[in-house]
Amino acid sequence: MNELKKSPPSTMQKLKGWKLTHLRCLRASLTQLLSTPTSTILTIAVIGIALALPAGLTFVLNNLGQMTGTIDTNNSISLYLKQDLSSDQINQLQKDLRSKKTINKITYISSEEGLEQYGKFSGEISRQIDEEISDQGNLIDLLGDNPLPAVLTLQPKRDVSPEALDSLVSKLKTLPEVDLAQFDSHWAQRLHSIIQLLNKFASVLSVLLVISVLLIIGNTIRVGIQSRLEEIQISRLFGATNAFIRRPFLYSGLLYGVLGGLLASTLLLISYSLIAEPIQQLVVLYQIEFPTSSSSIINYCFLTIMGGGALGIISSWVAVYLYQRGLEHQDFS
Amino acid sequence: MIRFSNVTKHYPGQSEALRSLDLYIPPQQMVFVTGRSGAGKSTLLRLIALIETHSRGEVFIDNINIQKVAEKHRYFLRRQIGFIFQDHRLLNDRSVFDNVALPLVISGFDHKEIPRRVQAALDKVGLLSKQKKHPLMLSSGEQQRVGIARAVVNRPPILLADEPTGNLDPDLSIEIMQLFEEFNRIGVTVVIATHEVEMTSRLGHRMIALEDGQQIPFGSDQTGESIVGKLHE
Repeated sequence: MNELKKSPPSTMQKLKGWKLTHLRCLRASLTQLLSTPTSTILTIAVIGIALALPAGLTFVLNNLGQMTGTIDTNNSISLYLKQDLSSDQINQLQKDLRSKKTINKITYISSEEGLEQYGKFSGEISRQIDEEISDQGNLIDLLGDNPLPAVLTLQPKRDVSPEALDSLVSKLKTLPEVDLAQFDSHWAQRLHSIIQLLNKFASVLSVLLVISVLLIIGNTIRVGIQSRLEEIQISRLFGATNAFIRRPFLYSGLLYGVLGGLLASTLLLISYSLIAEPIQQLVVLYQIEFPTSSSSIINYCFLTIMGGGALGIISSWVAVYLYQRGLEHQDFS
Repeated sequence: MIRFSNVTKHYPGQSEALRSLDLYIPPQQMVFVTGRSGAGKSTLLRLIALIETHSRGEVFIDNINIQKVAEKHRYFLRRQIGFIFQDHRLLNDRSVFDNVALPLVISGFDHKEIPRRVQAALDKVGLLSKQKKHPLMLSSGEQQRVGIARAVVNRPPILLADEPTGNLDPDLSIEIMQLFEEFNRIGVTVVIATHEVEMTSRLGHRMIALEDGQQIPFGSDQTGESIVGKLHE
């Protein structure tokens, strides 16, 4: 044969040929998808929604987790002292408390310091909420006598169990000098554990949805193989390698995954734009840091598209592999 | 070029399609395989084309024992063979050009080389003007010639045809057979399964007669006898 006598192609030529082959394959796969628009759109819609759910959940929970992370969750206990205590009584109480093994640190805030802090803090909030009704400073002036109690903030040791803390708080409540004893961040801890639970739930749901995406794409590719059996058989007869037969299906899987990922990203962005404003209001009201920025949502979209593409390739590879393995031991056409 | 040694092909649940067949087809020979339907003609061709695998015995193509070649490496042997079906088996959703180009694309031919080769093959079968048409727009004879162009475009050393003229009228059949003779003349080994003993025996090539999966002397079966008888008259 003539072509055998020719010099072998250079690496650049091979690379160019390889690129052409793959471009041609990608185009053929795209044409294939466009030739059955309805089923293609439906498949992509299912993949998109199945990808959007885990991506959205993970996004929200991650941000919630970070948000509660910024809230002080150091288990501190506030002891509000009765108004008529002398400084000697207060010092004695501090001493007694220091002798307890479970307590690490005690901070004393006198009623005067408390008033100062309150004035600063409430002034800040009122500026942010509504400047017109502010002037809390004047309000405090109006009160005349300082209504705030002295406070002891107890910092328990890190290794103290929640049960021990509970019993500590109930003991503290019975002390004659104490008006009220309470955890400062009990709610934040509860939120934290709820978020952890939700995170587990989201992980399970994500795994299930990812599996369903794999199955959807795999089955679509399987149907594609069935509808192109004639072409596959003819190609094999004329010496197509397994890779040659696999390639267009891998591209189809990739396209399904990437297009599904794009749809999921669109859904994410739409949802984000709907909740962005209420979240901003919450952030202002609760003085918390909400770490979400538009760049982080775009990262999520990017990951979703990449993930979709990877899932598409994996599932179509498995679908074609199963088909080709069946061929090894059986006659074709 | 092609050697069968004690080859048996057994289809599950059926009687044996080939029984202990010994056969040798030397390079560059043109051979007609005749026999009634079910005699094993198609099976013989399909074993050579590696479409099916034999149950017992050994099949050599170009001195390679095909049984010793793993399925995933057989593509290389298949590229040495052009196969022509009775029912054409063209891809109807693609143009004539694309159908003929398929074996070249599969073999990874240079993209600039493909149009030249395809057009040469189509020119050879007289269908250069129809390269943009779709197979279903062509007549049965034209479709068969597209199938032939597809089989030869890769310039394989072996050409196999299973009842290539089964659906064609006698004039067209002769044209097709002459086309095969032309390929044979440039050194291609040609094996054609056919039931048209009368027309093919006149062409003066080797005839292999099969009956019940075994080779019998040509002319000893009923169809052959009557034909040979007629030729003697």
